[in-house]
Amino acid sequence: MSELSNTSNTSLTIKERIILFARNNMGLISTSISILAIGLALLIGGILIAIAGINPWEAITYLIKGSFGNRYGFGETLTRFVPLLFCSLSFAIAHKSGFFNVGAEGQLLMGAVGAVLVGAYIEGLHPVIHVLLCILAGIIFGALWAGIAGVLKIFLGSDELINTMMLNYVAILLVDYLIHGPIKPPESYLYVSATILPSAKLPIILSKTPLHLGFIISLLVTAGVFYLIYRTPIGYQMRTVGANRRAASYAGINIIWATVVALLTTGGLAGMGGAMELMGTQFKIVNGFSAGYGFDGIGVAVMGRYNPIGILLAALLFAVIRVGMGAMQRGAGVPFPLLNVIQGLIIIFVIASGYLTNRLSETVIGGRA
Amino acid sequence: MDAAWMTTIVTWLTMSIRMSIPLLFPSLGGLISQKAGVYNFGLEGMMLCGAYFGYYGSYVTGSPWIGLLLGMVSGGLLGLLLAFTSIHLRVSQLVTGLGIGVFGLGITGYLFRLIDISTATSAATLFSNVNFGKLSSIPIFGEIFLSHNWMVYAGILLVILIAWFFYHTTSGLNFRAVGENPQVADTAGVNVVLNRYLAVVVSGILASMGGAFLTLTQTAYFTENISAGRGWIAISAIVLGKFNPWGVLLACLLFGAADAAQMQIQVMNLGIPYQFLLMIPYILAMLAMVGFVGKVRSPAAMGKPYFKH
Repeated sequence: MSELSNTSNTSLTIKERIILFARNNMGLISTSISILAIGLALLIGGILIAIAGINPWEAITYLIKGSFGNRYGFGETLTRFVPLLFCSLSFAIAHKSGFFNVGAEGQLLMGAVGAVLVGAYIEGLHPVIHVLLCILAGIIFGALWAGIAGVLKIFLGSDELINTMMLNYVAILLVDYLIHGPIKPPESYLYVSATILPSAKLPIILSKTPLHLGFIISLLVTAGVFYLIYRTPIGYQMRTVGANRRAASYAGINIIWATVVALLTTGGLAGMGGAMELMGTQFKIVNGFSAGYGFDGIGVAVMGRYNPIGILLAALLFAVIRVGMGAMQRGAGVPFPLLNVIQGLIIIFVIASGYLTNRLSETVIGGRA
Repeated sequence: MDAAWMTTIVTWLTMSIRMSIPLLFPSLGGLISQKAGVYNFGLEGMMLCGAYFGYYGSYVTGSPWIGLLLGMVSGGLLGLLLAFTSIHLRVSQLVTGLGIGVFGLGITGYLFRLIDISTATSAATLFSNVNFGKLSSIPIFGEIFLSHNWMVYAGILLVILIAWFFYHTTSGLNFRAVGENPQVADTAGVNVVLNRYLAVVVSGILASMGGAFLTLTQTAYFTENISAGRGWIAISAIVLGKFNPWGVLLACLLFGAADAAQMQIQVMNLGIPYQFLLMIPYILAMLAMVGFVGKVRSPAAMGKPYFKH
């Protein structure tokens, strides 16, 4: 196929024209395939709504109105976007560095614990300093929680996939214990953590909505993460380790160091997401604080194909679905777990559609992508 | 030793066996799939479907057998989906498995909330315990080993069957060859694709039986996320069991014993927060991987898609 580019356009057969078009528009094609995959997932969601005896069109109206049909809903969607984005960045950076961190859920929870400790119990700080300290605590707690799996992997060769997954369950139970005693305000009869002080709360950036400063921070962090991965020496090392461990070792890259940085970053990002959710939205930890953001993050990263623009758009879509699903539940009585059905299907369809893009690039470029 | 302690220990051993079974089925399923070279990370989702559809079938028809069958069909279908994406489409087995997990959590939660559970008759009919007649009145032995429902014995029978298949039949040898070196197996005339398909579908069916065990022999009710990570612990049990059916049985018994122990300590009310007791199986699953991962040899072609040349 390599002589294609040298041939003038006029002498091409239709097949060659199609191949040439595909070659020049791989991004467009893989995006269209992703959109088709999402459409299929939503279609199945609609069928399930109909099975429940609910008019799908009515339900979808609630979804659209609730998520971006009015000022408050729009703000809420962008608020949900924040933890989703952090969790997907967390999964993506681990993926680029060659390991699977499916523990964002637990790391996010632990990050929230770190932030609540600093936010509720340290008094008399200037708001800017207090906010920064809370975020730092979130990052450290998330990174340490991921670090458990990291230590087990680096020193004992234990598989991080199962360990990060198990740490989710342990974190959920640990937080449940904490809000039953150690961090529960003595006067409260509910199982909740102490509420953070006003100086640790993130300011609202869009009036009459819950949208807080964490939204801006999350966009800046996204830029920072991709700068780290693609424009710094350590990012290059992490990617090399992720692409081919053996080659990285021959190239003299310190694999342990690259893995440590990757693990701390992946855990830190999820932890920061937890801190943001706490400081901007919930202000205290309740049972079900995370509600699956960690797993949603995996779907977002897969759908966004691990690139910045893709992840931003995918996080926005997942936020729309999440907020819209709440509105559908309240308005039309659609059970909320439909959220997971649609997200699971999106993950399966988008990853399966990778086959089409692979085949296409095989035909077009003559090699497997 | 006084009688109270004796009773506690007998109860603990009885429960250990019972609690190991919902882990044994998905572990054996995962083992079969991995032996043929395909990772099944969708065990958790398949378990949940088995648990829900098992419950639903039994609740609607009053027959736990129909429930079990329905559950097995749901697990088999998810297995077919995983087989198709990993064998034909050759896309990431891990991500597809995670997707199946999220989907399984969603679909079971969604359908369950559509049922009116406020009615008194929303319980599923359970499988009753096998009647061993006079044998079950043998002290200690009878209680520990002969007081279970048929699925417990079926699980142990399955271990024998799988071990025999793997190591004493030609088809079993071919089957393992598919997971070790598909190219060579293919050259020798073994149908790689067929073997892998069967493996993954059977693995889905077994995982769903583990889920159905929970609702059809234990709780009689479905609750969201009832499998509580057993589909993931199973993967750890496979490694701990060194990819051998008998080893997997022992690993599951160990996990079952830990689960039974934490349940009994909860009942004893020793003042240990229940959350820490509930953590035990998960921490054990992590420790199991630590001690054995480096020393265990997994099937050579595990997780690698096969390209026919």
